[in-house]
Amino acid sequence: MYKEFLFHLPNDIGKLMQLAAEIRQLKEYEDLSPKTQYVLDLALEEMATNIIKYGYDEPGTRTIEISVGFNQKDLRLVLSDDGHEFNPLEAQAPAEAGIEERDIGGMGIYLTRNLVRSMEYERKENRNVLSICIDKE
Amino acid sequence: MELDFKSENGVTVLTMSGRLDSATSGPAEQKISEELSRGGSWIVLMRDLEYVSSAGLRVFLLMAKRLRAAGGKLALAEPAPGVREVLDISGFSTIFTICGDLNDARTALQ
Repeated sequence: MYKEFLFHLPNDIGKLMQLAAEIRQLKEYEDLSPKTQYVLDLALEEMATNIIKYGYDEPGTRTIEISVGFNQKDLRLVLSDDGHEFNPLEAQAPAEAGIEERDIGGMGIYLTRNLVRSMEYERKENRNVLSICIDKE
Repeated sequence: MELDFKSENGVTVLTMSGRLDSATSGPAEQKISEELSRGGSWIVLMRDLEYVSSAGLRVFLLMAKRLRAAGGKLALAEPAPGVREVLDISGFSTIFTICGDLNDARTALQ
């Protein structure tokens, strides 16, 4: 049985982490394995943080639409924002480097891409729409 | 997020529990920064650390840089499977010393 939850998130990291805590209270979330919970938490935090920090050219309150859908075998996380056009699938992987030169930029997208089953991006009606599919394990 | 610092024989064991994420990594970084003035070598005991995001990875990178500059070493001990996977994918497993238990970490610092 498919169950979907829709949230409207202001562009504020504190609010994002509140929403993440709220999602962790859902019965559907509690039924997931620890591994799947980790991947969902990470995908939501990394991709939404990225939008909040880098997605907007002007200051002001904006709304990110977030949906989390629970299927029998997988989850679907969709983030839609009205920031400037940005396709995370085209982002560069972080460079290999030692401790001194290591830069954390781009790491969130890289981690997410490596942990989820698929990620699709489209620019639709002036919005970035990112659809992420996560296998239940 | 809870942090506990215990120093003994020039080695500080920092036990982290809870979630190191975009909300908690700022305050954690500040607290750790203050405690790093103890110097010596450090072990981060991760057994009760449930979750680390890229914001959390930044904290370990900062610790490693500060300790290295002061001539100390850093080892990460007992990461749970989810945290371990993030350390592996990020490539941090190749630049940090990661140990299966606290004793191995103590040995690795000698």
